[in-house]
Order: sequence, then C-alpha cells, then structure tokens
Amino acid sequence: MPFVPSLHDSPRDAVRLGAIGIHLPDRRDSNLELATSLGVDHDFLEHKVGVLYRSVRDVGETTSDIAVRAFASLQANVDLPTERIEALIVVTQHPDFKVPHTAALVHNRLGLGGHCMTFDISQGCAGFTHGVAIVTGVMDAIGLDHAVLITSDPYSDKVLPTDRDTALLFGDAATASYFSRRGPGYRLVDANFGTVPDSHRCLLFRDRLEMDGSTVFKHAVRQALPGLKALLARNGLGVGDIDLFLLHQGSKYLVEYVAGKLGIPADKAPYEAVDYGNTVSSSIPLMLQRHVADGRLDRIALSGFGVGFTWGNNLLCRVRPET
Amino acid sequence: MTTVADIVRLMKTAGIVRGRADALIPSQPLDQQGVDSLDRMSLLAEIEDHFQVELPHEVARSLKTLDDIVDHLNIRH
Repeated sequence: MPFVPSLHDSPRDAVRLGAIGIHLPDRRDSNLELATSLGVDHDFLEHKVGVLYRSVRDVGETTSDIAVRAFASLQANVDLPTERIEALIVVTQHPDFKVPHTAALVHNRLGLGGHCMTFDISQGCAGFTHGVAIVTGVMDAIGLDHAVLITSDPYSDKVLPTDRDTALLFGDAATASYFSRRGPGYRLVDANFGTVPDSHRCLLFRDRLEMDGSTVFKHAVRQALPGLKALLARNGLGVGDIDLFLLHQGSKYLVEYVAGKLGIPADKAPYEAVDYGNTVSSSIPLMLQRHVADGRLDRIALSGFGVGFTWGNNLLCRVRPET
Repeated sequence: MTTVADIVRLMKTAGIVRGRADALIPSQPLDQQGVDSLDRMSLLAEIEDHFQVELPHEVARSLKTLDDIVDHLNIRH
C-alpha cells in the first residue's frame, strides 16, 4: 500500500514570535503621596517595591479597549495580514463580561475573519509564558500560519487604595504578539510550568485583590526559580549561555533577589517597571518587545509567576531571517 | 548549635540589610531595627536553604528576633 502523507507530514517552517505591539496608558499616578499615606517610606518604595508611578487606563476603558489599542500598536510595527489571522487569544482574568470570552469581542472590533479561532486564557502573571506555549502548540498541531496573542489584565481599579500590600504595585497595560512562520523572530525551544498545590489563597480576587506577599515571595523563590534552573539544565545550558532573562516584574526586590540567587548579572535580568508598575501578564512582553524588534540576542529566557500559585518559563531562540 | 553569629553571617552573605547586620540587637524585634518585610522574607528563605528546614507561615510569623530564630533552629535540631 503506498504511503500517503498526512497534511501535517509536510515540512513547515517553525512558528516564531515576530513582533509585539504594546499599549501603556499615558496617565501615570504617582506613588509618592500614596506611599506616605500608607506609612511606606520612600526608600522602601524606590528600592524595594520599585514602582514610583503606576500606569492607569482612562476611566471607562475596558480590557478589550486596551487590547485593541495594543493590536493597533502591533499593526503599526509590522505588516500584519489581518485577514489571514487564524487564531486570536486573549490572556486575562478580568474579561469585559463573563460571557462571551474577551477574544470574541476583540475579534469583532478588529474585523477579523470568520475562520479565526478565539479563546481566552485565564492566567495572571505567568500568562504570557503560558500563552506562548499554547499558541505555538496550537499552530503546530493544526498547521496555522498566523496568530495573535494578547495580554490585557488591568488592575488599577481592582485593588483597594488603602491596602498597602497591593495599592502601590499594579499598573495597566496590554500587549499583542504576532506569531507566524516567516521572517525573523524568536521560536519557543522549550518550556516548563507548575502549580503549587493548595496555594490559591496567596492571590485571591473577591471584591478586590488580596495578596499574601510573603507566600508569593516564597513560592517564587521555591518553585519558579528551580523551574527556570531545570529548564536551562535540561537544554544543556547555563546562566552564561542566555543573553537575557526577562523575569516577571512583581517588584524590584523580587526581580533582584531571584536574579541574585540564579547568579544572573543585573544587566541581564532588568527591572523596568519603575514608571508603570506590575502589569501582570503584560510585564514580560512589555520588556520583550524591543528585543524582538532588534533581533540581536540569540537566547532569551522568560519566567512568569503569580496567581495560582503558578509559574511558567520559556526558552526562546532567535530565528534568523534566512531560515 | 546555631548561634546569632551564624545568622548574621548568613545575612551578610546574602546581602540582607547591607552593612547593618552586625549592629542588630538579638533580643529586639527585627522590624524595629530597620529590617523591612522584604528583607525578612529573604532572610527566612536563606535560613530554609542553609539549614534545610521548612518554616511554615505561622512559624515564620512568630520569629520576630534573631534570638527567636536561633532558639527555633536549636530546638528543632
């Protein structure tokens, strides 16, 4: 009987992350007065929390509104064949509505085609790393050529202004990442994920976000950090083989502590959220955007951790234009 | 037997409260001596690593001074 290859047996170019669009609201609320009112001294605010200003979206702007703005930024940066987008995924835990999923709303507002898969991923600070793995996996499994992953999880009105554990931390932002099989970019080489059993109470939203910071810190150090080490080790890599580590920007202290424990030089594990805050699932792609655009680094490691308590690490490698 | 000097050495190695670890008074609460909540979290993480112990949330909260930490470690071992 002759061999009949399936559609998926034909060789395809690797899925790659080719461009990222970002939306950071212009409005910035200063933390200086708020810190004073909460009894937090400015040295602690600047050097430990590391958030002097929080980005705040316009009054009335929804999760889908800022998602659309991020998509517009992506369109401005890359020749995006919107009519050919086959999957649109939104990472959020604050959808506009419980039903339908936010990706369907964004799909409609962008005027995407009827052949486009849409779904939301309910994830927090590890959402981008989960999303990269899911998008890459779906594209590989069913042979998609064009997909967009959006992160949009605004928290500015989800925290109590009098809660010193959360009020100084969070900022609003959204990002849109374009995945395809053409041109330069970064492909997902490997990833690992985890969920700490019985840990869901450390970040809990009822009528507002409640955070047990010491437990979050402990899980980040005890779970996400060994996970990142394990990911490098199983790929035969050490810290020195990675050009850049983008760690979730939970706080300046957390980023510096995790980097220090891994032995990563400060310039390879930047903290950049001083002027906008912890933007949850957008924190990593906000930083990754310019490195994807530059395309100069060979290997980038991403580490997200938070709500769940869950963590996720990605190892990305550069795809050269000729491949 | 663990001593206060062991804990202070651990703090210095980990860069916790840089330059001030030697001046800490063992019997006084750490949070009254400029050890903030984040320093405290990392100190407890360092202790768990170094002494291979688990400090559950309730235990960690009860360790307010260097003496408390040393006593707890010595009673456990």
